[in-house]
Amino acid sequence: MDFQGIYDRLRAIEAPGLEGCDEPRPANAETKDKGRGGDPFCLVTPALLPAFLEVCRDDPHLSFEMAADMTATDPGKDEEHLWVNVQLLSVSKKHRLAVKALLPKASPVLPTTSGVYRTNQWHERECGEMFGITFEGHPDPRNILLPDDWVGAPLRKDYEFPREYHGISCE
Amino acid sequence: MGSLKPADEAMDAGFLATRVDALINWGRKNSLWPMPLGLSCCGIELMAMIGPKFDISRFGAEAARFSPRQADLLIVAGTLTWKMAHAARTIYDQMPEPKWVIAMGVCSSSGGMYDSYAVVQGVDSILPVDVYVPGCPPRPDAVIDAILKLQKRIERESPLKDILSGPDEVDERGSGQLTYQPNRAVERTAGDLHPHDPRASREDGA
Repeated sequence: MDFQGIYDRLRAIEAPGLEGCDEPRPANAETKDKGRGGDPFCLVTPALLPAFLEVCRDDPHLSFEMAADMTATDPGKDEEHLWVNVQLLSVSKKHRLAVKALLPKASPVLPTTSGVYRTNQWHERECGEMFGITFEGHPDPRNILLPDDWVGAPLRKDYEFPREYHGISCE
Repeated sequence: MGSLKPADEAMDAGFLATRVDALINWGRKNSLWPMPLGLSCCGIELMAMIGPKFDISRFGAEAARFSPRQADLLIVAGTLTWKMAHAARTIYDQMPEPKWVIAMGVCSSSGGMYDSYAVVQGVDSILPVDVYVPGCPPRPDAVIDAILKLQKRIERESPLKDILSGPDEVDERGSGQLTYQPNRAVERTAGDLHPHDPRASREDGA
């Protein structure tokens, strides 16, 4: 199935939390629109992301057996939202789907999706430490790359380098 | 071996006349036992240096020990992250005196291209470094040169003075400053530096 087919199927089964889709478009010089590259993606309500993924996994026509990746993006200092991106892969149907949820930076809280795809345990741990996202219900929310006592979310655009670490200058 | 001269008339009797300092230094410099701390690609060059092609055993430093308690030369080969810094300092502290440190490659010398939140900007902020080796990674001959330079430096030390009177100055660089204890909360107030981080504000009681 191509993206349109997957999207129509999600519409037909009324997948929970599906808000819409966004497809790449060319730049338009008249309206000063820079356009958008990349893959088309589905936009999902953050609170309903686990339910949405569960439908994607269990629906016989979609059958996304695998969460290939889950990560987050900070699009810029002035943006109010973080993007949480999930890449789904169906090995049996040979198709992919990009899912995106907009998470407000002021309260980056998301229910854990590790109950749907166990792979996402590690991905969520990385998202949590790098972007300061809290995954509610995560079975093991420790840091995975940073030291246990690290302060700050390094991949946020407004992150400032620590000036010292345990009394040692970092400059 | 300029300072270790046999007295001509004593040669037949089977003993040498020399200074104790010279004898100790001669022994120390020709049997450095490196502890390889291979942290990234520099570790591969380090292995080549120990192997038969470049053959560091020509200079008496081939007995690489992976236990710090049996080593006296710490070769920090590669990118040291803050997460690893605590382990590197512990390894250094476990090595018996006398001990020396070589910072191999730009990453361990200055952080190199990793001007990053995660990387220690030069291991000399936590360890007293004796010789820096530039290069990314340095060739094995460059590290051999560093060992030769270290040998020259050891030749000039006065071990007897240290033994009799104790060390006249203590190297405080970095010593005891890593207070990180695994699995224990460390007090800090960084909520102002990272206001967006929910973990930071929670610790400030906000």
